[in-house]
Amino acid sequence: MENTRYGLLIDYEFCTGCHTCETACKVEHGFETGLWGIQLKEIGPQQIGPRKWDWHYLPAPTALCDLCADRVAEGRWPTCVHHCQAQVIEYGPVEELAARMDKQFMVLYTPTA
Amino acid sequence: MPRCPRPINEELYRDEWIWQEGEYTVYRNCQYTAPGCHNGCGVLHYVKDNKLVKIEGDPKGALSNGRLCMRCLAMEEMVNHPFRIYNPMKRDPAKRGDDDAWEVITWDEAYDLYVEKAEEILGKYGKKSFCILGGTGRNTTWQFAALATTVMGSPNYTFGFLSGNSCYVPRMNVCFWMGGDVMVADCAQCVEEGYDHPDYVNPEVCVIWCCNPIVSNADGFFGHWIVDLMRMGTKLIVIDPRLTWMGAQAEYYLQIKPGTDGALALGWINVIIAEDLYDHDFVEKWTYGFDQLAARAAEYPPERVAEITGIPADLIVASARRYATAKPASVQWGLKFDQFKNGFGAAMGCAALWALTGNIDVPGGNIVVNTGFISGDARRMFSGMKNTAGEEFDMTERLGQDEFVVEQMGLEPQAHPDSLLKALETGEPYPIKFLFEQSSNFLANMGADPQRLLAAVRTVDFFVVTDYYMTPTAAACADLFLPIAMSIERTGCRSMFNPTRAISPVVTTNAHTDEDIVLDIGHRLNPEGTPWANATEFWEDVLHNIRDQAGKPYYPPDFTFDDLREKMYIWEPFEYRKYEKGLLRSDGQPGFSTPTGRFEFYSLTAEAAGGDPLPHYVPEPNKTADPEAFEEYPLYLTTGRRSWEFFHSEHRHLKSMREFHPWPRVEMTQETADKYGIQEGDWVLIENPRGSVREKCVINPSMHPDTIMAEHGWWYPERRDDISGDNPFGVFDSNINQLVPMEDYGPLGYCAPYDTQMCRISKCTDYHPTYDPGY
Repeated sequence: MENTRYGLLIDYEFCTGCHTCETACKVEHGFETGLWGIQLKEIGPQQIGPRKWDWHYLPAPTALCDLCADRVAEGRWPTCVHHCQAQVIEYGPVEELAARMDKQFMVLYTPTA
Repeated sequence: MPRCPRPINEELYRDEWIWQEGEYTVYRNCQYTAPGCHNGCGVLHYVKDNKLVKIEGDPKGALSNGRLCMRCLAMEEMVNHPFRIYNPMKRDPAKRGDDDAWEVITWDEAYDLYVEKAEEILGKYGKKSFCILGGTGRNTTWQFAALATTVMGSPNYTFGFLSGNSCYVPRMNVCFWMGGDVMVADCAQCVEEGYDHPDYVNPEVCVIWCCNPIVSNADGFFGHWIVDLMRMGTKLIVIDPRLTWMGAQAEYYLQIKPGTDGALALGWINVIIAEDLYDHDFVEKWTYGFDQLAARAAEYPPERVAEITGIPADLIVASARRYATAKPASVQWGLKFDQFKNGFGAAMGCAALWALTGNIDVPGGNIVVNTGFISGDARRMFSGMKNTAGEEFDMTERLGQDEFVVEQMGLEPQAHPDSLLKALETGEPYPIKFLFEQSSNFLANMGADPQRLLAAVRTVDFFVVTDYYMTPTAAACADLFLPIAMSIERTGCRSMFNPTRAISPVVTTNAHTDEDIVLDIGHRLNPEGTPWANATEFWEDVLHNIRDQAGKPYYPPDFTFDDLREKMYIWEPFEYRKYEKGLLRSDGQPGFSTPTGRFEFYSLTAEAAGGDPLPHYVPEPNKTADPEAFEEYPLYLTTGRRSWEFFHSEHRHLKSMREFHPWPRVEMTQETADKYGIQEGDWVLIENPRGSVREKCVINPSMHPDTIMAEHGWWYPERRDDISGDNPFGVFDSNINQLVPMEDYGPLGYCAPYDTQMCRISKCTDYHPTYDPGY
């Protein structure tokens, strides 16, 4: 369908903060130092109870993310999806991805116009 | 759970090893060094006009299945980097440290010089005055042994000043002595079907001990397998002085004082035996020395262990129960067992836990691995060959033989790194006059007390460094620099452990592989001892010498490198519960390959070597034991934790990596920083009686306030205009190993205190480097 909106579904419960998505994106798009197509944000670490810690990472696509339009046209997955070491990023139609948001610590991004 | 979670486009990601895709030739390959790393992940190299244009993870690749870390993703920048050196260079030994004294030469001239110097030194001092140094992570696990023994006729090859052989060697020997083979946490990595293998079971609990595997990926273990396990339901217990991301996700996080892991292991054993949580059936049928183990562990009640380790007693008890009652449960252990003086006893305690709970060689437990030992089998092959004069080869003359029982017993294949330093400094037991370094950069990394090393190494008559760029070690010490080929220029294999993977060259440069260098030297100096025409033949011979436990070769004599490349991955047979099936011992009987045939809680090998046969704990110097000595140096210093961006001393010259990680980091709590008037981002002077370095403060709220963590391996490749003299590339500004001693190893010569130094810190106000990548 022409008007289908695509997005990235991220299960950030298991994002380890490895910077693979950021690096893969920079290499794919040739972004210079200081420019990012996806950026990792750190949540915590904060102690939220006795012996209980909250520490997560959250990758966030920027305005430069084009969901790897060229790669997708070739039949590849977006590079962050392909290379994510924790395998927590999925690409697809937003409605399909939304239906999979059935647990804690998930986020759905719709970066492109 | 499938290893690759999404559909694979079969047209783009193929089963062949090579194909054409538009303007690119695509090679399905294994990425294995240089640059270094231990994994050997599956990659696709896209090549045009003899140049690597891009790299992509191979979704059909074994082990990592298309995933890549940031260092592999930056491979194009790495292999095409302007700082690379492609031509040999020589320098007058009188001008070591003078960067203007290098002269570019051809390979033939380099080899002529090598032969001339080697023959001169051979005539004066004999063959054993040659020593070949190795490193870690690069594809040179046996090549340095071949150069030393078959080509140069010397028994001396060793790690480049890694004190106490303190990286995996101690833990491997714990495994060999107690259980007969290496053991590792099972993540279905040894079976082709992965998590879908019918026998595989996901562990209920995985203990992460002395490591942060998602960053370190050590010993052929892809750390994100643990994340796979977590997603399939595995719960974690994490034991670490510093909270990691994994620790934050764990059911139990145990913040341990550095160097006290032996006491914790015995404390867990105590709880498990006292509460009758151990596996009676396995212990009775398959182990030796249970009563002695129980008696030793009885000395470590939870309250005592709490006092030693700083972990609350109730947490020790609860976590021990959780590990013992989970079925199955595994432990993924790490480097830090090797890096305090009594780590060997702690590692024995850790291994004893696997057997005590019946988790040895069961699916989802700690599996016995007796496949994939290219390095071990190849070193045996070369050590058995004749020397240059055609005489039988005598390894008993190697450095360390007269000092260490483990060397005399033949338990150690290589010379001892600390004995090499002693020989360089004193000429005892005999002088070392010729050094050749492969894949290490000991002034920046691995070697302890590097300024002492610099002085010692400069006493030799000739020093050869092989590397792909100028390093502090080469700049300060080398007389001959031989440029080595990087990953995409090499022929080879990786197999630690299953499967064996082919490495094919995809571009040609004037840099040579380590195998080519060994062969070129051998053909000139010792043609009889160098029967291989090229690297492919060399590797084929190595493969033909890989044997199973009965001594039978895995690969038939007509097996060629092309066969391996066609298949890309060859899985050696793997089974669980091998001890029940007679698959571990050379006599084919059930049991383990140990003197008693059982898993030995009480190690007869350790006893014969003069060591403590049981798991043990001996206090390292610490404040509780000796408060006065530490008044001036009140903080525990841990070193060597891994970064995403760097492999040891590599990658500092990549601007992509430095954007993420521009300067060395020392982590401490806010409380500690406040106490010493330091703010996040300040340069910090870290000192002890041995030396001082500068690193930048990062606040980590989860450290213990008594402990700081300082990064290792730092030098500044961007300071290329300032590499003459005694501080090339500013290596001594920040190399934390200046605070770590040589020759202070643990019993038996194993383990060194890289992780248990005391120090003091202050704000550093006179150090303001700026970063300009220089390209």
